[in-house]
Amino acid sequence: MNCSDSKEALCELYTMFKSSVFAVAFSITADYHLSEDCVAETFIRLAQVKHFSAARGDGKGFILTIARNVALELRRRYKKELSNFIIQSYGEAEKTVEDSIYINQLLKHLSDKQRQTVVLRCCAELSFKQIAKVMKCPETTVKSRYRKAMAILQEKAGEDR
Amino acid sequence: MKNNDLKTDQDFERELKNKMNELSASVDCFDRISARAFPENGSDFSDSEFTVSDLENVTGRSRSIPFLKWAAVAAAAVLFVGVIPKTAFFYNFFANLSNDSDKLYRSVVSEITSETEEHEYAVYDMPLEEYIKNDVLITPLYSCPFEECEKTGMSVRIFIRKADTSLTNQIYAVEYTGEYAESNIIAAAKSKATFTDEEIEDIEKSSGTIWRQSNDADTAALNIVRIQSSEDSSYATENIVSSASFSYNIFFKDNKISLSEPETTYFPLETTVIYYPKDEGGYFYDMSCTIPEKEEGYYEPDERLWKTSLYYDGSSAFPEESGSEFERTELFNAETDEDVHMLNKANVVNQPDDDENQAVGSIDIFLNEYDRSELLTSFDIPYGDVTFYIQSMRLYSSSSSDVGLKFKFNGSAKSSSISLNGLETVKGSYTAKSEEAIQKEISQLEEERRQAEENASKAAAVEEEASKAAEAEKELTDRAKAEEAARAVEEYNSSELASIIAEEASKVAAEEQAAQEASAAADEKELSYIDEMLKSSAPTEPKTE
Repeated sequence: MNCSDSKEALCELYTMFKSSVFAVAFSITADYHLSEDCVAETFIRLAQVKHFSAARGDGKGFILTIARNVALELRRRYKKELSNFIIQSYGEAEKTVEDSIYINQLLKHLSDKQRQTVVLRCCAELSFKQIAKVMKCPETTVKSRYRKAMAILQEKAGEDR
Repeated sequence: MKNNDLKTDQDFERELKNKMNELSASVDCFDRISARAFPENGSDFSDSEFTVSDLENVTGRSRSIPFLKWAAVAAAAVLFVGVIPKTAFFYNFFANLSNDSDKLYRSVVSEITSETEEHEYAVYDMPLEEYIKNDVLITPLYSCPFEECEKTGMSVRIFIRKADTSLTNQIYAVEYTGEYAESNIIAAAKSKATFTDEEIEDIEKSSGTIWRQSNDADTAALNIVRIQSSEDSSYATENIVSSASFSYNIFFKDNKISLSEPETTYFPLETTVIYYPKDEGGYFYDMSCTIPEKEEGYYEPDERLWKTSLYYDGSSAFPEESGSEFERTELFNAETDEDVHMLNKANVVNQPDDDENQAVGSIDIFLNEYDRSELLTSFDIPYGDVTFYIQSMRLYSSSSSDVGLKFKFNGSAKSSSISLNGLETVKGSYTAKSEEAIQKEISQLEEERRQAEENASKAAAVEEEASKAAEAEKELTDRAKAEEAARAVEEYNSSELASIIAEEASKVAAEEQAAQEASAAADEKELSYIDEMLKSSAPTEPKTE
């Protein structure tokens, strides 16, 4: 597949991975519009990769690595505009606001890396090994973070009942 | 937010995924992507009449080389290096900024924070004085790295790195006041050993280590009974529960040595700890470390396994002397007494409560006898499996199913019971002997027995001779004595007779004399009477005128 030449190929990739890329971006930025920008930027950069080949390991993990890096970059750049993880109001898109708030509330007790790990596992459906490659840390660290995150979420879910 | 339905991890994962998919469904930016990724040919962006280079210089002025900027930086550097250091301000400023030991403390705390966030650790919380007193029960190889503190409310939190369910010897400890928080930490310590993530992964992947189930504790327990007996221990006299033991199994890293392979610096290490109460309080203890993979793999770890222990001001927090209630003494390597003190043992499991941060518990041991229950003794014990050694023979000559021991844990209602019938017997020696060695021992014992019998018969003969001689001598002595006595009696009798005779003779003489005198007197009296008679009967002559 060579998405630098083929719009159709890029479209196919977009269709397959849009939700995963968005999930990764949202776990980092916690902002709907910024995450949307991340999605766009990710696929634009992907289009610039000359020899994109799944056989070489340029698969889902590769795309999500790009997405993660883009999200971190945009978050760094627009840090001041992001007040906190609670989105104030978008006016016209109430559903997106609701869903954004819901997800942020779900994940608010987790650290940054724990959020990313959980989203990569649950939403992007990566294996621990793939997550380790994306986040550039050992697999045991990923498992440990995930277990801890789940424990925290269980504990907090119990407190909220 | 109410998450009433999120009962399991899978529920949560499903919920998160669904919500995220719903949110991402409204994202539609492919047009934007394709516009940027595949711009249309002939697109003319020049209608703004600006080129990129022009956009950079809309003021029309030529862009000067940023000479001034670099000159300013260079001047600042010269000033900083050449001028400022000569003033007192420089020294004061940097002295107040940081010092090496303070920096080291902060790096340790920072390491603890990141390590415990990134990796799996077993966590134990306890008051500082409890760790000082009972460090052997919590981290047998690591004594408490903090000194006693007079202030109340001081606690210790210990972090032990885990590899799946196994413990390692990468340990951190912090001393804190009040509630646990980084701002309340006043001292921190770290171990010399650190495991890389790859090493942890290897341990987790390796097939389960077979721990040796050492019998060393049984041997040491027999030694303890012998010691208690020889020292006439008042504790042992009053208590049938002699000692307690437990195992502490970890993956141990010793940076100094390399075992089987040069690149392997860690190995499974089984530490057996046994302890018994002192009469005056506290415990004597000993521990034996073995490597299960190696035959006769006894291992002696360094005494000091902590790398550093620092207060917040960078000063050392290591105690000058240990405040532990446990005093080490040689129990495992002492020679066993072949004259077996029969022991029984009971295995109990001290389960922690739901709060998994507990490190040390306690146990009360009762004797249950029909309807009666009597407290025998109490021990401090770790959590997990503990073995108690009991001299139940001292109680009963025959076991009874109605008599048993009850173990009550941590002052709670949790308990376990075992009848005396159910106790396992600890026999004398557990060293593995070959059949040949056993036969040799038997022959040796036979020879000794035969020799002893021979010696006994010889001794009997000698004794008999001696008794005969003694008898003969006695007879002679008796005879001599009898003769002497007879002589003495004879002499006595002779002298006595002579005196009697003399006495009698004098008596007779006196009587004769008396008789003679009496006769003479009688004669005289008779004569006088006669005279008187005569005088009275003679005629009277006339008187002449």
